[in-house]
This record gives sequence, C-alpha cells and structure tokens, in this order.
Amino acid sequence: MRTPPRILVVDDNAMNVDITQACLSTKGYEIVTAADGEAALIMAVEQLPDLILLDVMMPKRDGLDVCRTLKAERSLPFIPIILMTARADSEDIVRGLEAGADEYLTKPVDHVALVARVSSMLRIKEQQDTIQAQAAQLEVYAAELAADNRKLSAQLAEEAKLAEIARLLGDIGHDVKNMMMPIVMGADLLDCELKELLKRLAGDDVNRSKATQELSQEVFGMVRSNSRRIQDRVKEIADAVKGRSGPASFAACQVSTLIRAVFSTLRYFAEQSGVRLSAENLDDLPVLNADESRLFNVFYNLINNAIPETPSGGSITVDGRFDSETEVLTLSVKDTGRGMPREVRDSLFSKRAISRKAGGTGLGTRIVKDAVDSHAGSITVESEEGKGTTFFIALPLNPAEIKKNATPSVCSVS
Amino acid sequence: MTKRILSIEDQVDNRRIVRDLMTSVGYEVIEAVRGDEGVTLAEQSNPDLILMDIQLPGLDGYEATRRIKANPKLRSIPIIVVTSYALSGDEEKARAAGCDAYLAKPFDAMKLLAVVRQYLNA
Repeated sequence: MRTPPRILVVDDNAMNVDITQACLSTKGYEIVTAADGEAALIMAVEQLPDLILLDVMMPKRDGLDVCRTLKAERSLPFIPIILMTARADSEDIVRGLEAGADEYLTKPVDHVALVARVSSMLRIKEQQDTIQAQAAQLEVYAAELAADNRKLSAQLAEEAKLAEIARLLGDIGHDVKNMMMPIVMGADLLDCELKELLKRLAGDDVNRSKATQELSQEVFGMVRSNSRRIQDRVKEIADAVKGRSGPASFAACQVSTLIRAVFSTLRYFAEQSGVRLSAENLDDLPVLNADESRLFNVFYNLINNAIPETPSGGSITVDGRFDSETEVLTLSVKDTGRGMPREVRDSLFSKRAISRKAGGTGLGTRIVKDAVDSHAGSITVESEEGKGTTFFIALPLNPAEIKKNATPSVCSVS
Repeated sequence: MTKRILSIEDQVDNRRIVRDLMTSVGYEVIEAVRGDEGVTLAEQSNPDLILMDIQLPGLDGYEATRRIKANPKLRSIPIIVVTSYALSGDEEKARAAGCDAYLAKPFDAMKLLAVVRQYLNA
C-alpha cells in the first residue's frame, strides 16, 4: 500500500466527486477520479489505487458491472471497493456484495461514516498486502526447497551408485581370491612334485636338472608374487571406493588387538621376506574411538608397503604413545628398510602419489591419508636413505568431538 | 590308518586343488559342494577333519559349522574355515559359529598343510 494511500473516486456527478474529495483530502489521502464506468476500469488498472469508492448508478457501465470486472481480473492486487448506492434497499445491497463489493454506503453519504469506512477498508487492504507478500515469500522458499531437494536426490543417487560400485568390487575381490586359490596352491604343489621328480634323477641328468630347477624356482616365485600383487590391487581399489562411499562408523577400538590382526594377516608375507614384525608399548594404550576397518587399512597398507622395502633380517615395529594432556594417541610404524628419496617422500599422501611397486597404483597411500583424515588425525613421515622410514600417525582419542567443528577433507580418487 | 578329510567347497577347481594337495601327502579326501550336503556327509562318513568354505549353496559355511558343532557325535571333528571374505568381522563370525581355525583365501599349500597337520596330529 502506498503512503499516503491512493483512493479512486468514481461518480458521474461532478459535485459528488468534489464533496467526497474535499472530505477525504483532510485525511491526507491522494485522490484520483473517474466520471464513468469505462474510465474507472482504465484508472483502476493504470493507477492501481488502494481503495475504490464506486457509484452504482452511472451511464455506459454501472458500478456493479465495474465491480464484477475488477474483482474478476486476476492480474490486479486486492483492491477494496466501497459501493455508494442511492437507495438503502436491502436487495440493492445484496446485489452489490454479490458483485464482489467489500462495503457499501448509502447516499446521501454521511461524512463521518465515509471517513470511518475508508480507514477501516484501508486497514484490511494493508493486511491483505502483508498476506500476499508472505505468500510470495513462501513460494520463493518452496522453490528453494524444491531445488535443494533435487540436489539432494541427485546426491543420494550418486551415493547409491558408489555403494553399488563398492559392492560390485567386493564381489569381484571375492571371486578373484577364490580363483587365485588353485593358482597359488597349484604352484606350490607343482613345485613339490617337481622337486620329488628331480630328486629321483641320476648321473648327467642331475647336472642338467640344476638349470631346470633354477628356472622353475624363478617361475614359481613369479606366480606367487604376481598372485599377491593381483590381490593387493583388488583390495586397494575396493578400499578406495569403500572409503569414499560410506560414512565412517566409530566404535571403541583396542589398538593392540587391531595391530595383532594386521600382523596375523601379513605375518606369512613378512616371514617369506625374512622381516620380523613387532609391537611395542601397545598394551597399555587407552581405548580409541575409531572406525576399526579403516584403521586396519591404514596399518595394513603401511606395513604391506614396508615389507618389500625392508631387506631380509630387518624388522618393522609398531610403537604407541599417549599424551594424556592433548588426548592424542601417536602410533609409529618404523622399518629398517632402504628409506625413501626426497621426491617420493614429498609426494606421499598427495593426489599424485608415486608408487615404487611394480604395477603399483599409489592408491594405498591415498587410502591411508583418507582414513587418517576421517579420524581427524594427521600422518607424517621421517625417512633417511639407507636407514629406514618411520610413519607417525597421530589420532585424537575421540575424533567425533573434533570432527563436529571441522569440515571433513575429501580427497577424491581420480 | 589313513586320515579322512571332508572338503566342503563349491568351486570345482578349488575342490580339485585341495584334493590333489591332500592326496599327494597321503590323506583321503571326500567332498561336498553344498553346505547341507557337507553336514550330511559329516554325519555319514565321520571324517577326521573338515575344510569348510563360507559362501556355499544350500547352507552357508557358518550355519553348516554351527550344525556340525551342535551334534555331540561330530563336535570333536576340527573344522578349518577357508574363506575369501576378508572383511573385518568375518573371522569373528566364523569363530562364533564354532570353527577351530580360520584361513583367508588364497593361502599357499604349505600354510594349509601346516594347519591341517597341526589338527590331525593333535
């Protein structure tokens, strides 16, 4: 509504218009006028008054017709109409209200009543305007909500797709392991059989068999190590997808138990490589709130990567320390391997991690970084060429409390 | 007396390699493809040791293990669960079902033989 309100006065009698105008001007209203029904319609659309005082008996179009037309026009805002009728006939009043009028006044118009009706109608107009503005605002909110909803369902669809990929990769991993079994065990069996066979040879054949034996040892070694690599790759890819697709689930986690589980998975590989796995100071560590399978992956990857880097006779040690003041638990993985050149160390945990393993994807260190991030922890590395490498993983005892205030860092797999 | 091993495994090549390995070192091998067949065969042939896969048609390896361990006549037969599931918690599930040992696939022949010998000589 305007300030001051604009009122359209419609009457074919110029004197009536003048009197009404004079009466309302004292209240500071802005007055516009029309002398017949046609002019009233044009003025209403052009001037958009806040109130119309409308005479009923007029040439061309009468007030009832104008009233019906204006109330039917959907593009106009709500404009209250006060009909001014000469007769105080109840039938006339009913017809006027049926035509859509909001109020009526009978002629001759009592000026006090006129001012009172006008101000009461303007109050209603103001309330209507407020309601309409709120309705428009609600429509904006609804549109925003609908847009958010679309975005969210797209996100959910994306997550469902990722979960499906993770599941599929899990199945593939399962199949691969099943299919690897006859290969790995078959190689062992052939190896044994061949040794038996070669033992039974005599004379010249023994010398010739030396070359055969060496060759077959080399081939069996390749079958075994490549079988291992296939499994590692499948596991890395599956873990990378899994790490991205689901939220971490935190529960009480005993570090010593976790490390024991990792050791038992890798013990055989370590024994074959002549590397000793040992744990120190883990038994007295407090219980950690952590996603166990993700932490398992952290240590599995670090130790699995360290074993081939460590010469036979060396060791890999997991050590633990708890700072009760900061409530941070620091675990270190220390090997007696050949250490890393600076460029490898600097690229670790970046998106362009360099893999030193034949056929390595560099995904392993990415998985480690993602998992440590999801625990609001940090990972650092110290390495000296020829002396070995130590990783330090610092984990807050209760990452959930820290994570509430922090935005999770998302590392994408490209 | 020749020790008898019941191998319950649905993959034909896996069944075959287990048989080849076990017979090469002098064990007798009987086989089942489905979990429920495995339970029946355990009741009928009273093996000295059972090698149990987890993902099996009919009954899965966890349930087959539970049923065998619930039978007082079969309870003392050692069951080695061999599985290609490698999620954390799978081993706990297998242990809870009552298995005596757990091996994640693929394992090498020497490792499997070592575990089998450990239980057969005990």
